[in-house]
Amino acid sequence: MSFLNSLNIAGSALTAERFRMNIIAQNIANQNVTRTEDGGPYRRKQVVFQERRLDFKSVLKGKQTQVSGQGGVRVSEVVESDEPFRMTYDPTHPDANEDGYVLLPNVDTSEEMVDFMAASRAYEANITALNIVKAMAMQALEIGK
Amino acid sequence: MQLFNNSEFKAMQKAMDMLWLKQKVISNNIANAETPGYKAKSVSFKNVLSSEYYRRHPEMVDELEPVVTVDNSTSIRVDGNNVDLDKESLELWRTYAQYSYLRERMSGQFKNMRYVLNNL
Repeated sequence: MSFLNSLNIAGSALTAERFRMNIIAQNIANQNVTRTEDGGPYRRKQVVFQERRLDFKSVLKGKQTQVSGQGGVRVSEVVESDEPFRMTYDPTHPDANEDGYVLLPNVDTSEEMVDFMAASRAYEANITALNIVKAMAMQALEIGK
Repeated sequence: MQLFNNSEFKAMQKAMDMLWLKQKVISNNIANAETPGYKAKSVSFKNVLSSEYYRRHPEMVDELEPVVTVDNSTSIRVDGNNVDLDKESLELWRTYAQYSYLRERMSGQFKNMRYVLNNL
């Protein structure tokens, strides 16, 4: 149903932004973790968004003009950052190397906070859009009253 | 039946359908405001409606199709994205207002009809 589909567009963005916020929180929480399952310090994770295309069936069924731009957004992948780790001198640390240096995760807290704010603003923008769409749908229900 | 099938009704119906599509495309733009490389899309139908063909054949309003265009020329972010959130939300409000207005007009038509039917 088209009415429900249009709520899905904003809904997909809410899911994606929330996922992004979760990953950012994960990064901040792990900013001092030196031991991971893969060995070595924690690597900063980044979320990559991608426009969600309509599936093949609906493209075939729909008219040509309605193909573009109604799928919303999706998280295509979570990539680990290749930036160099932070090095600090702390010979007492159990994970320090022979020279006394510890490799700490490549997480920059201020960068994460800025990203977090961007994500939450985007979330708000989508909430606003969702409310307008909802109001429009309610209007449609009142035709004839 | 001529009562429901007149061109005014058809035009309003078409316009509301188009506004609904516009709302979807704008929502999609807002949803993709943080997507790298995404280009904003826009729906235009004002130009279609004012075309010469339609002016000569107002009853052909059913055949009109909205046009979805992609603005590939600009980027306002380093990653190539060109969604302007202010513009999009303003456009969404405008769509909502137009939709409400058409809804009002349509209800008015039905009200008139009801009035006529009740007073036969």
